[in-house]
Formats: sequence, C-alpha cells, structure tokens
Amino acid sequence: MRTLGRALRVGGMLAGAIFGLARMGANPRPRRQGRVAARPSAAARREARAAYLFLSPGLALFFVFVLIPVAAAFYLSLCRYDIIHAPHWIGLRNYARLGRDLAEQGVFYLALRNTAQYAIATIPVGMALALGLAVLLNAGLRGITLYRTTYYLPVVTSLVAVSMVWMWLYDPNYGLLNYGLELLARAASAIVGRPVSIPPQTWLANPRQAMLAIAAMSIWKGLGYNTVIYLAGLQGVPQHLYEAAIIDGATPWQRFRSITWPLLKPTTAFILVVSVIGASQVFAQVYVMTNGGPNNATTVIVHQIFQNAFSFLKMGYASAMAFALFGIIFVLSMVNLRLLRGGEVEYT
Amino acid sequence: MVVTRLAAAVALLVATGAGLILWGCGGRSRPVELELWLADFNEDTRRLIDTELVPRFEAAHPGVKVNTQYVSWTHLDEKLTISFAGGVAPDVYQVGAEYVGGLAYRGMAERLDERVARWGARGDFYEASWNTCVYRGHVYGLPYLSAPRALIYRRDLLEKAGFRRPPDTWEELAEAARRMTVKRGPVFDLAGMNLPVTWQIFVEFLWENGGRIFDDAGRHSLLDSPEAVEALQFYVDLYRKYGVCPTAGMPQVGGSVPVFASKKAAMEIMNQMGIYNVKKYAPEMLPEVAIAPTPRRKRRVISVYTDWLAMSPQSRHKDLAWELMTFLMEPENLAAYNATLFFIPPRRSAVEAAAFMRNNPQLRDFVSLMEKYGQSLPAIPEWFEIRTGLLRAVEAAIYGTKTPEQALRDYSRELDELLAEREAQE
Repeated sequence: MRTLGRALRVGGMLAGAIFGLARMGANPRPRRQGRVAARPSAAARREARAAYLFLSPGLALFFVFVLIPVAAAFYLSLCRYDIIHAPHWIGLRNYARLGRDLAEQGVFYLALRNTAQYAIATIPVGMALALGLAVLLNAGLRGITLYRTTYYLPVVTSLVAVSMVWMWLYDPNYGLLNYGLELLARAASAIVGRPVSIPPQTWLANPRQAMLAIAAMSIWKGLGYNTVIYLAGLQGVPQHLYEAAIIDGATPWQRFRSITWPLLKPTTAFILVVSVIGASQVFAQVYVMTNGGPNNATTVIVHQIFQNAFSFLKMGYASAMAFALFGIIFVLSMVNLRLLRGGEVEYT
Repeated sequence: MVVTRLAAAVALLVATGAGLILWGCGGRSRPVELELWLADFNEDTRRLIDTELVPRFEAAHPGVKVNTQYVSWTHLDEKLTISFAGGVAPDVYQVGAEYVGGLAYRGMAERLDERVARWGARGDFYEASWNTCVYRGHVYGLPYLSAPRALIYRRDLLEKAGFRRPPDTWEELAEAARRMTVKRGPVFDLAGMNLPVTWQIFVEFLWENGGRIFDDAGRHSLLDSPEAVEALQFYVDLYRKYGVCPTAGMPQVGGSVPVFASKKAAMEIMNQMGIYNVKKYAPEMLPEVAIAPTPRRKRRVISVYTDWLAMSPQSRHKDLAWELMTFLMEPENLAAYNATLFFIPPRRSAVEAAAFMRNNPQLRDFVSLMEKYGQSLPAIPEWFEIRTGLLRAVEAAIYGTKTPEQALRDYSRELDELLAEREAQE
C-alpha cells in the first residue's frame, strides 16, 4: 500500500508538471504590465476551455501510455522487482550498482562503450553519405523519384528481416562478402602476377569486426531516411543564390561550402539529434545478429536493459539503466542543440 | 421528437445489453479449459498433439477442453513472466533444464511431491532427467524429453589417424583431434573437433575435472578452483595450443547443414541431434558414426539436458492439470512425442515402447551412457544470469582478452556477489 502511495505521489508530481506545461501552452500567462496583471477575459477563458477539451484525448493517451509508465519505471528503478512479486523499495541501490559496474568496467560499462563505438561508427559516415547522396539526387537527375524510392526501401523494410539477410552476407564460408574478397584476391593475383591471398573473414563471429559489421548494416538501413531529410532541406535552398554565386564565379565546392552547407544547418542539427538518439537506442539488429556477442563485443545499453528485465527479471536494475540512458540522451541532445544553435544563416 | 428518438435509442441499448447478459448467463455449461504451452515442437509434434493426444484426453474427460499453444523458446521467458504477472499463466507449460530453481523460488511452479508419491511412477524415470525438476529436495515437474551429450565421432577418420578406439582422456582427445585436423593456412578443411564456444562445453569439462560451479548450498562460487581453471585452460588449448577447431566455429553449409553432418569435422560433443543430422543430411555416413563417453579427466560425466512440464500454482484446475501431465507422460504418449523430435524419452518404459529407439543403435548408446554417468545442471534460481556470466568468462578466455584464471576469478567474484544478494533477501 505504501509503495502504491509513493508511486501515486511521484506520478502526481510529474502529472502536475505536465499539466502546468500544457496550461502554459494553452493559455500563456499574460505579461505583467507595470504592477498589475491583466485578468484573462471571458473570451480567453472560453478559448482555453475549448483548447483543453480538444487536447484531452491526446493528453489522456499521453498520461496512460507515456507519463504513468515513465513515472512507474522511475519508481521501479528504486526497487527490487521481479514482476511476479510486489516491488521492494531499496532506494538508490540500483544506481549505486550501476556506478560500481562503471568503476569496475563491468558489463554496463562495456555496453556504454559499445554504444558509443556504434554511434561513432554510424553517425558521421551515415550523415556524410546521406548528404552526398542527397546532393547528387538534387542535381536534377532524371527519374529522381525512382532513386529516392530505391534508397528509401531499406528504411521501410523490417529490421529483423534485414538483419537476417545481412547475416547471410556475413556468413564466413558462404557469404557474399567473403566471396567478394576471394574475387578481389584473384583479381589482385592476376594484376601482380603472383598469388595474393585474402583470408575469409569471420565478421559477426569476430569480436574485432562484429560491431563494425552491425554498424555497416545500420548505415545502409538508415541511409534513405537521412537522404530524404537532406533532400527536403536542399530543395528549400533558394535557387537564385546559386545563380548569383555562379555569376560571381564560385566553384561548385565554394557554392556547397558557402550556400548549401550553412543553409542546411537546421537540417543537419535535426538529423544529428535524431541519429544520436537512434544510436543510443540500438537494439534489434544486435539482438538478432549477435545477441551481444562474441565476448560481449556488441552488447549495447538497450540489450542490457532487455536482458536484465526479461531474462534475469531484474526490472528495477533494468529501469535504472533505462533512466541512465535517458540522462545520456538528454545531455547529448542538449549539447548537440547548443553546438548547432545560433549562427543560422539567412541569405536574402 | 428529439426526446422520443433519444428514448428509443436508450431503450434499444438497454434491450441489447440485457440480451447479452442473459445470453452470457444461459443454461449451457461451458467446458473447463486447460491451457497447455509447449516449446519443443515441430509439424509432426503439432499433428500428434492436436489430432491424437489432446482429442484422446478430451474424450476421456468430457467437459474438458485443452488449448495448446506452441511457443518458441525465443519468446517463452517473456510470455511466461507476463502471463504470471497478469494472473493468466498456463495450467501446464514446458520449460528447459535451467528453469527449476527460478520457477520454484518465484512461486511459478507448483510443488508436486504428494501427487508424485501417489502416482508411483517416479522410479521409472532416469535419475539425471528427474533431478532437472527438483529444487531443494522438492519436485516441481515431470521430465518430458532428454538430451544427453556424448562424443560423436567418425570411426573411419579415427582409424585412418591410427586410433583403434575413441579417445578416453583429455590428452587422447587433443591428440586424436590434432591428427585428424586438415588445414590450409587458417582455413579448416576438416576440424579434428567441432567445438562451439558455449558455457555447456565448459561445464562438461569442469565436471569431468571434478569441479563444480558453486557449493552445495548454492551460496559460494567454486569457479576460482584449480579444477575450474584447468578445465577452461583445456577448452582454450583446443583452439589455441592444439589448433583443432576454429575460434569462430566451423560455418554451416548453406547456413543450415550442421558441421559434423557436412563432413567438415571428425568429432563433436553433442546430444542425439548429432545423429539426427547425419541421418538427415548424410545418411551414407551413418555406419561410420559412433558414440563414446565424453573423454574424462578425473571422473566420467555425461551431461543431461531435460525439458520438463510444470504446473502453474495459479491453475484453477490443478487436479485436471495433473491428469493432463500424467496422460502426456504415459509411456506410449511420451514415446510418440519424443519420436517426433528425435529426443530421448526420460522414462525407461517409454524408451522400451519407442520404435525409433529400437531402430537406432546410437540412440541406445546415448541411453546407456545417460543411465550410467548422467548428471543434470544443479538447481539454482539465478541460472539465467549464471549461464550469461559463464559464457562471458569462457569467451574472454577463448578470444584471449583474459587468461582462463583471470576470467574465472573475475566471474567468480561476481557470482559470489550475486549469490550473496539472494542470501540477503532470504
């Protein structure tokens, strides 16, 4: 009963905060003019009531399926809980355990490190490829819709199905990639006139290659999404700026550096924030392709959350991990936005 | 006008509601429904259960309906946990060799001591199979299928390498594997030994070397013992020192034909599915395939993995659930079920009743090894965490990020903490 009371209190606090925010959005507090605050008029109050009425279905869903579960998860992160029995309050012990794991470079530390490696391997390369592809597609090619659809197809394909297909590509003995290496070795032998050997790689079964192999698949899978976003950004760049730059004798690189790239800054910021969040939450491909192995080389934060919650029934510890992940994503998103905020370019 | 329409609508709603309630409370008595979840199945199993066994059970129990759900192992844990949390757990469900401790500890399996005593068939089950369902001296289920692991080897290749009998000790195993291995640089044409990187193989070597994972009370890790370090060292040596199998494992032909059956390995430590694979993919090789006890160090052990049926304490029809369990355990039914999957029935009379056992001499070898040297996993609530941790230690040693001693010392400390956590809760 006490635990329920606590849960309700936490939920109530969060709910209050959200309602407060909603209130501010629906009916912003009038600015104080001098010392007297103007009272909202009857019309404004009616408007606010109507706003709440229209917001209520969305808010109800938000409460039931987002806010309450989040509040409950936070409460559970302070408990020992195996789903079957009632949660048992243990204070900050789950967070202390996380801290100890980090200090001792345990599995959570490995998961953090691997998640960071995955983000570093996928985000810059993925964004650069998407931008390059978008610039090419924006160059007035014929059949642009076909190309756009082709690059977007992997995005709408099931991640599990794609992971299975890439597992075949990575098969050490019969995969297409090792076959490619064999062809490469043959071609190299023909060119240099002596046998050149490129040994077949074990890809997903090799701790040094597994994360890169997953990252390569993820870049391919997400390329279409980023490309389409960049393409939308590019199509918003006014054409006359390029025309003026051409008259001024700017080279294509100068045009890209001085017009395209600065005007794409908001698009880049959006893609970066979304990519960082996506990389921090990577799970399905890891679960399907390696299940975190070999030698924990590909275990990531969400994989650890899943394993602790549903294999070990340590819901409390898994919830603490989830809130640690929330903190990481929150901080990274703030840093990203701050780095990319300001200096927006607007040419007239 | 508006009021009349509204009144008509309300009256219609009330009438419909009343009709539905009356229909729901109608005189027809609804059958008692039993939920059965099976995780080991294939098309043949489904046919057997759905068209033979369940109809026979229902015919013998008028008014009872059995709903069978076939749940993949991948989703079993989540489904079970969620169904228990929601109070809608299946009456009878199948689980694996590592489950008894966790289920008993969390109150997810009914204690069956008295029912088993009244039933009187306990003595007909193989000891190692039965022990899989026992936690702290109490019975929580009935063994449904068993898979003992032994050395499966190619007689012809072994003879060619100069051996007249299968290797009996670790040293002989390493030497035979070394002589039979054929390599082109780093590429294996024939692995002397097909050895995946798993915690099960380590546990096998550990037991053969007289070691254990934890003490009898399940309170202290014994993984930092010299026996454990030696066992892991031998496992690592098969890859690194003797070079008889690739670290990444031999790839499967076309992703589906297992290594031994594709003639790419001379020996493997495997359960009876090794024989099944040969029968399916390379039947011409079968006369040359034989079974031997896993080579020993200090003692002879055959590890036995048994999947079993548990009853939910949430079941509202426990007597019927027990009848369903014992019906499925009847020798002919147990034999028929195991025949569909090529597993070993864990009951002696079912082995006798099973035609497929009579026709496969290798399977009979498995049974006699299981009977003589069989050992099941020790029961402990934390098995899922332990198997993950064991695998981590094994992989660290085999991939060379830690020495076997370091890997086991580190994990042993972690295991001690894990066991102490439960002790504190108790």
